[in-house]
Amino acid sequence: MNLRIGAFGRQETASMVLIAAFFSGCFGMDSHALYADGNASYLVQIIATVQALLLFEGTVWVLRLRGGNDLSALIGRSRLKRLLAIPLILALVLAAMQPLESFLLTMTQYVFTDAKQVAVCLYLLPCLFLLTALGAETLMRTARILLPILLLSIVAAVLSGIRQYHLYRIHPIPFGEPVRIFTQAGSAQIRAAAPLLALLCVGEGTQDRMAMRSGGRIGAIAGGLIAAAALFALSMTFPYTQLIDMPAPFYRMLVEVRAENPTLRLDRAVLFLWLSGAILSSAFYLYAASVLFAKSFRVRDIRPVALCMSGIAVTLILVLYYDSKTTAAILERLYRDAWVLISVPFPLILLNPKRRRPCAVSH
Amino acid sequence: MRRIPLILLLSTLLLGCMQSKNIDEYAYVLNVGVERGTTMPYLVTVLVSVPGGTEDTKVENVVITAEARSFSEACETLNAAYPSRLSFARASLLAIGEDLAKDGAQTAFLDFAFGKPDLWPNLRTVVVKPPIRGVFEGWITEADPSLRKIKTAVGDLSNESGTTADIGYSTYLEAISDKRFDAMLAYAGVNGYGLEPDLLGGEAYPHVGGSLLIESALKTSTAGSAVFDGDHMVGILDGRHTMEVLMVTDAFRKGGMRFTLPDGSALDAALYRMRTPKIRLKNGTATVELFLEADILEPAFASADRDALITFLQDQLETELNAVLSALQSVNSDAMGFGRFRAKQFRTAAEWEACGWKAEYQKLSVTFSVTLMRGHDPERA
Repeated sequence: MNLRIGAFGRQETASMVLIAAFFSGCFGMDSHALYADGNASYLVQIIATVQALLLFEGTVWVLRLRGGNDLSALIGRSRLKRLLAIPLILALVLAAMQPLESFLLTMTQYVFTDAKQVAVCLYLLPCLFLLTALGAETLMRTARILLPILLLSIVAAVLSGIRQYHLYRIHPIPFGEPVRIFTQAGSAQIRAAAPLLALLCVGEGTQDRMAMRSGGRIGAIAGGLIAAAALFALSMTFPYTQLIDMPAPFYRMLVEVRAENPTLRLDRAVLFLWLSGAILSSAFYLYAASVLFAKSFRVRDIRPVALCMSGIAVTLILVLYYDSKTTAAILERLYRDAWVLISVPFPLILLNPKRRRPCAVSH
Repeated sequence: MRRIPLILLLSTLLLGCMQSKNIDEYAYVLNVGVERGTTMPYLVTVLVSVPGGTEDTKVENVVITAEARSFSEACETLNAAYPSRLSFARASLLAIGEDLAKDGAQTAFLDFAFGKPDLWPNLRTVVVKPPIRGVFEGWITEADPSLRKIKTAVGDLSNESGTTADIGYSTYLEAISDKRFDAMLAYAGVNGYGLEPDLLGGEAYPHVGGSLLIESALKTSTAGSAVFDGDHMVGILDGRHTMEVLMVTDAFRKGGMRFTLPDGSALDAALYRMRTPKIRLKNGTATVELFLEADILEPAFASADRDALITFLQDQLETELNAVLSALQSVNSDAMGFGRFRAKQFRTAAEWEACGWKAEYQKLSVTFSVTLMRGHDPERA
């Protein structure tokens, strides 16, 4: 089998999960739902990260009990059980779409202003396909290299806007409706859970289950906290009444600093750096979806699956822009309720009884 | 070897710069202004910089105007009238005509304008006594062909003297959408043209900040501020009253004030922000504690007199702050931003939006308490 998982260590795993958690947390949000009742986006991010970690730890625990290194080991081989992989694959494809869609909107609205979405989007396809087809080891090692400069750019972005921060903008904090915050965290689960779900799909490449667990744990906690901090900075820059309709709020945060501030000139450099991180995160999700598909449906080569997954993700992004309102509404609904794709099959997978091998009978 | 054709094929995607345009084909708009038109609803004025324009300055600034029903129409007309393609990517100042601002008619127009991709809402924004063309032309000087220093001077004026407000259009939009405070924008005008008194009936030349500009290389001055109720401009505050509002909003850094003493003599004091004001709001009553340092520029006063003098200045400032607040309440403008503190008392956005803050604000009773410390320590600043 040519699945190109390769081998990677804890640092690489943590770096990839951290980058994916940050980009999914900050660039995959549904602003209308998130800011409808006020601004608790940073709290939602923290709660969603805790929920995702609980799911991850539970899965690793079940893997330890049953033996196995990745999610496909738990899903099983029977035709009916294989169907449980489909919603997870769909969840990963949707998670891959979210940051890319956000960046595509940013680029067409603020950078390539004369370009059509389809032209910019088609540039993404070869990048996604190449990265996805090169496999997990390439992705993880690239993440390890990219992480320091990405962290530096995030810190620079957050610090450059510090004069614009005002604490009054985070009020009213919707503590009056705590249930609503937990509901939003449930809806945001796909954003927080996708990096760990993807890691569970490629767990075979880690040194052992413990390396996978610690790498995933470090990456998810650090990525979730950095995303929550960035969302908090965003909340102090814009009130919820503006954030609800604001396309590309993080890019707006970068350019909000005054013309006299030299950091203004960093905005496009930082944007393209972040775009690299978003493409890497999306490729990670698509690769994980491809591996899960290949293992579940016994496809021996990852490349055709990777091409299909990349094509599906890019096509769905374009559908959101171009197709009829009905299709776009279905996809948006799918975004909002994507948590079902994880919440329903996961308990079934975890409770899935392992088929016992018949014992050898000695006469 | 099989990968080489694939790499070559993919390298065709790396061209990147399709339908490129030479930089000389663009002319960059530095200032954008919109005011009431005569035959059409809007008169759009732009100040365009043409790199390599004239032999002397190398940069030519041109003011062009177009009347239109919308921003895109105005852009089309301006582009048709100008030999280069206009780019708004480097615009850094937005001027709103006072006539338009008083009707609140600029918001719909500019909302559409900021849908345009290369016009950013972080533009420094000023309200201008029309004609905007005159104001833009008054700013052009050979000493500063790019106008950069002049725009920086608006910010410096706000920081150094406190006589004008320095906010961007996005803050103005926030004031309209969020309703926690009302906007206060810098006010500019052609020197000596169409003077108007401020809200408290004070100086009749607010845009020169309380002093009378006689002659300058520039024909335009910026000082004082235009005060808004939502998106409607409701009045002007002169430099001194602007300073007092900025003290409450914590945007004041330093500035000079002249006080009239009981014996009729005048005293100049340099005031400095000491720390963040304490504002408490409860049951329709607010208390505002301001902490300032004062350098009294009169060596003749003995130290025994100074304590009495400080108390007198504190009382004077408190009286003036009450007068400014009353004037603002009379025009329904929460430029001091008490709504920011009221919003903290709600546990949901829906409750805050339903509370009807502006009606509460009209009845708000505020007690100002000014603490003036003698002497300013630059190290502490």
